This record gives sequence, C-alpha cells and structure tokens, in this order.
Amino acid sequence: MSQELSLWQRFVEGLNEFYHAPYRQTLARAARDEEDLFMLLLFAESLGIDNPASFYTLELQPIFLEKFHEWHTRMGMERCPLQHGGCC
Amino acid sequence: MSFQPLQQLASQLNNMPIVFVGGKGGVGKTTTAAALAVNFASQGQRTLLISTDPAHSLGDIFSTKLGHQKTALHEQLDIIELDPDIIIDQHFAQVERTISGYANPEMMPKIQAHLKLSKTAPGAQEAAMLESICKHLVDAVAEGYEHVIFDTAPTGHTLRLLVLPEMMEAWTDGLLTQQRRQAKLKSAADHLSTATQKNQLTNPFEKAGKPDRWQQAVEVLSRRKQLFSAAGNLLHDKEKTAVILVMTADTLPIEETRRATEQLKSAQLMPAAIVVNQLIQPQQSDGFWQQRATRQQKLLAEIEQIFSDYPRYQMYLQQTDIRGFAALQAITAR
Repeated sequence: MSQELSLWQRFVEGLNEFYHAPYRQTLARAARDEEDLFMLLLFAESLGIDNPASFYTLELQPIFLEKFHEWHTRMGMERCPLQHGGCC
Repeated sequence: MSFQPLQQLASQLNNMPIVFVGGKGGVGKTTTAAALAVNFASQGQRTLLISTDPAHSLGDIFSTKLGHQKTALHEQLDIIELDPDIIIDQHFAQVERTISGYANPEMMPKIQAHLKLSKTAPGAQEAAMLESICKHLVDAVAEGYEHVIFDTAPTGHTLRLLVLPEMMEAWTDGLLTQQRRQAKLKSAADHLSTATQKNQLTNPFEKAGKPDRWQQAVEVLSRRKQLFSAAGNLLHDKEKTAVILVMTADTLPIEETRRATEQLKSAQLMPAAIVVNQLIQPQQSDGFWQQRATRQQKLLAEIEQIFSDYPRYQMYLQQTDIRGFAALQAITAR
C-alpha cells in the first residue's frame, strides 16, 4: 500500500475530521454518563436498598467488578476503595 | 358443623395439585401434611411430599431416614427432605461455572471471594431454597404428580415471587444494556477516529458482529426468570395452589395465624383452609383437664369468628405419637 496519500485521500480525511470531530467527544461523554448510572445502581445495592433480584443475578458479578475497577481508576483512586476484597 | 374432620379437608383438596401446609413450630403442620399425602396416595393419586424442615420431622413421622433424593415410601408416595446446604452449594457451583465462561481469569480469585461473601450472607439459604422449591413445583407438575405437598407456608421471598421476574429483568437489562450501549458507543467513537485510515467511509453504527461475552450468563438468567414466572403463576392460581394454615387453640397461635393470613392476603394468596390441632374432648372426667377443655372450647368459638371466611377443620390430640403410614392413614379415616 502506498505510503503517500493522494490529494483526494487527504481531502476525504480532512472532510471526515470536519464532520466527525465534534461528535467524538459527545459519544465519549455519553459513554461516561452510562457508567455513572451504573455506579448509582451499584451504590444503591451496597447501601442496602432492597433488591430481591440481586441474589438471583450473581452471574453478573464480574461485570460489577470490572466496572467498579474502571470507575475508581477513572476517579483517580489507584487502589480499590473497598476495604475487604474488591478489585485491586 | 363449624369444624369438620380432617377427612373433609382431603376431599376439599382432592383436585388441588399444589398444597402448602403452614404453621408455627409444634402445631402439627408436618403431621397434617403427611396425613394429607398418605390420604391421597391411598386413593391411588400419585403424590410428592416435600419437606424444608431442617429438623427432619418428616423422617421422624415415617420412621424412615429421608434425604435430598426422592424416597419412594409407597407405590404412590414419594418424599424429599430438602437439604439447604446441598442446595446452596449447587447454586454457587453453577454460578461459578457460568462466570468462568466469560470472566477475565485474573479476576477469578476476586470473584470467588465475593461469591463466598454472598453465599454466607443472611437470606442466601432462603433465596436458594425458594429457587429449589420453584424447580420442584414446576417439575412435579410436569412429571405427572397429582399432588405436591410442602410442609411449609409460603413466606419471605416466596411472597415476592410475582415481582421477582420483573426485578431480575430490570436489573439484568439495566446492567447489560449499558454494557452493550457502551460497547456500541465506544465502537462508534473508535470508528470515527479510524474511519480516515480506511479507503472507504465505514458506517459507525454498524453492529459489532461478535457475540456478547455474557451470552451464556444471559441465558442462565433468562431461564431462571422463566422459572420464577411459571412458579409464580402456579402459586397464585387458586385452582392450582392451596395454602393451609395449622394452629392450636391457644392465644399466641391464634394471633400468629391471623397475622399469617393478613400477610398472605396482601401478597394475593388466600388461605384455603384453617386446621385446629391438638383438641381434646369437651367433656373430661378430670378437673384439671376439664378446665383446659372448657378453655379450648372458648378459644374455638373465637377462632370460628376470626376465621369465619375460611373452611375450618379439626384434629384431635392422640394418646401416642403418630408414627408410620398406617397411623397417618387413620387420621383421615374417620
């Protein structure tokens, strides 16, 4: 494949940037908002808000752990804030 | 006749596939459940009797060692004594199996630690037991038993059975929709940055293509949700399930049974009948016992009033402990 982009290809690349750049940030932020909604659910759980379904959805535990780890990392906490067990 | 003999209860329940017999400790619910089971079996109706009692009262009554596996006590009568430890072990073994199918292997020790916590949490045994009861319920009906009898009342989680499928769905979808939407969003964001590296414009909203890692977990949860749905429907069908409350003619049991009735009603489960046990003959030759008999009759009048909405049955105190098939048969023979 040719290293040098043709004039046409460079034009298309510039056009893409023009159209897509503003949305990239919005999408990334939307992804973060979804995470925060998840964290709200998680903390409601840990605060003991009654959820009869939690025992029957233990198969989803790993997803919690993964998301929790991503969250506290993103919040700038190096180690897991949970005292017992946790992700790190 | 205000209080009918137990024989009549068996008639009332003749076509009832599922029966729960509840009542506080010592009032005779296990005896009542066993007597009903023996009655049905004697009539040639295939019956399954299930006990959740950790004290193994059912084994005592039949003078047999019963266990987690079915014991065929009679041509038409099978008995199970559910073991809560086996049930919870099985549940968590299966959860771990499902999880190991998709989780990051490095996370497994952490996950196992969490599962251990959940396993020993208060209410975990009860929750696992409920799932087991639902399985037996649904399976028994499918296996062609004419009667399934439990020597326990629907309590706790059982009363929430109707909302469980909904809540599981909300929780699961809420979590996984997030994951999937995130994956899609991330993929879309990625596409936006890599689109320029390709020769042609790619569609950022194109589906990811590879199946979800959690597909197996979703399937397990879906089956569990369906189990609760099916069991909930059976339980709340008055043609299919009857809840019998057993009590003695004493102040506390009367109060407890009244509370239990309210609790059941608020969960949309109507008790089908009341049984008053350990009655003695109204006429006694001894002064002490006459006092007690008179008091019982007074309380019986109260019970008649409080539980006027329900069919009421009576059981008399026996001279000796009720043990064995023949003795149980005799209870409903009169």
